[in-house]
Amino acid sequence: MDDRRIIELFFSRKDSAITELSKQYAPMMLTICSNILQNQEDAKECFNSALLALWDTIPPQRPQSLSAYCARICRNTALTRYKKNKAEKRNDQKSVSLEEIGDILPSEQSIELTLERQELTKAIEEWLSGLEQKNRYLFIRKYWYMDDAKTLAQNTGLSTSAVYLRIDRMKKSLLTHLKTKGVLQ
Amino acid sequence: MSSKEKLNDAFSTISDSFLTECARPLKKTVFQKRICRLLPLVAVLVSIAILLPIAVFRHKSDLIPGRWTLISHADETVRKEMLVESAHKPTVSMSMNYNKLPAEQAEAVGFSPEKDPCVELFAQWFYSQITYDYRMHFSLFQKEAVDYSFTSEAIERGFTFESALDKLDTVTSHFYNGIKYDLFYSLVSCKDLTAELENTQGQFYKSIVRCGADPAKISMIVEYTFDDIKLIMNERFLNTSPDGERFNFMFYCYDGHWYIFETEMENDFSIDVLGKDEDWLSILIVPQECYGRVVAVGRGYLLLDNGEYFMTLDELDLKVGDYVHVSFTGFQTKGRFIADDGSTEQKVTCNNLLTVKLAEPSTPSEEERSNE
Repeated sequence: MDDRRIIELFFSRKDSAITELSKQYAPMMLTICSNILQNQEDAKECFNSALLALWDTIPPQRPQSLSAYCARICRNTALTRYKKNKAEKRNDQKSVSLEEIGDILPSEQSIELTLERQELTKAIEEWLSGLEQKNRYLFIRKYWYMDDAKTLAQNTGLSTSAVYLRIDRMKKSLLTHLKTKGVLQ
Repeated sequence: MSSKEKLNDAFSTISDSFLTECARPLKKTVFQKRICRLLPLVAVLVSIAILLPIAVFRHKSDLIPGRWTLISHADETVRKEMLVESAHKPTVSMSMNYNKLPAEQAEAVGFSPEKDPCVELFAQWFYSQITYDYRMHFSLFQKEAVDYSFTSEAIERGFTFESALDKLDTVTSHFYNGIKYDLFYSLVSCKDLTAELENTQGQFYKSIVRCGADPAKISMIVEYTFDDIKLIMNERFLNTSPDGERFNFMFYCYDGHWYIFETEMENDFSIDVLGKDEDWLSILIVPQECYGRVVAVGRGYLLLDNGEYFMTLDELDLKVGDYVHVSFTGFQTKGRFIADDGSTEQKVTCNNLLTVKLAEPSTPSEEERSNE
């Protein structure tokens, strides 16, 4: 079923909306939850919370891209859960810190972001647009979808080492771009 | 909201078109049996640390430079070690541990620590990566593969093979400022994968053919798995492979000579250095500046309170507490600083030191004096 029809099901408040959406996007949504939470049980709970959030927000929302909307809801839900887990210090020994885009900033004290979020997003998008498609894929999957290097290697046909290398280069390139744009002071 | 949170927040709201583009795997045909999986230097640099006592290097003076030496340690481990010294490059010592290799696997591929061309190739490859020795690096690959992956690209950029190597030598001389690198790894598995070649639809077969080489001349393919990779620079900066991650490396015997599989050239920076992407390269070669207070200083290293770590060839006339102005180039990657007591808690950024000037001496202020 295509996205438009799934959204119509949501607007009609039919339970099948959830079923159809799950058929289409459950793997992606579960992957995002799992990438962030690193725990299958939490990921499933988070996925269910995300489904509920989708049910609650469509309508009134009518997303242009249902996949992107699902991804955003999942990511936000999982990140909220991750922060909560972290605050409660659950699985502290095993938990791995999320590698987020903000980690490219060299020093918390000496860096100040001069732009508001919208302008900052624009600067990042401008940089993303200038990347080769494969590099853009790697970067977004790594920092937005939180895929690990092995998965990225499998999905791009690159070796794991090449994935690490490319991402490392891109981090530096983004930092340079932000500096050039005067975003960082 | 902190700067990092702001950046995270801004990135999380990138437009749908980017997310949709990346929602599915980029390449549907996935090479399931990856031929080469080994971190290059930069990947090794982005890792978590495990401390090895520096005392382990004491016996290095017994090694013959450039030759492998088999060493049985008191703890009954057997290692093969090499010390490489060459002009204008850091001294590199390499130590490979064989004790984790299952005997039946070694037997199946006819492996012996005394004579094995693949571990020699691997050591040379690692050395070439660490020191950016591209002449050695390209000599480890089949000529057809080098022509396909490197020379053709170099020619497109107006170079010959030799002139490209000259440029690589010139540019990469800025890439490191280390005195001494110590590299450790374990060989944990070796498998005979010659049967892979029978699959003419397989990635290995295709890669050989696309280089213009003849698969019929390949007599053996082996896959070695390495683990416990640790790199210590100037005895003060430690990087290891990510926890639990093992790396596969594939070798093949072509017309009687052993080579590393071509895909490892993908990670070697060479084309980037020749000018494909000046933007990121500039970060490695254009000097940057910063100020900071000295936290630790010694032969070959300097650590500032802003978390920046610098390798240097010079003895620095500085004291802990000095406020300094530094110019540097570098990798800007995270690793562990090895403190005097051997602990490696502190994660720092590693750069190459160009110049350092005292911005403010570490003498106590009037207020501090009066307190004393």
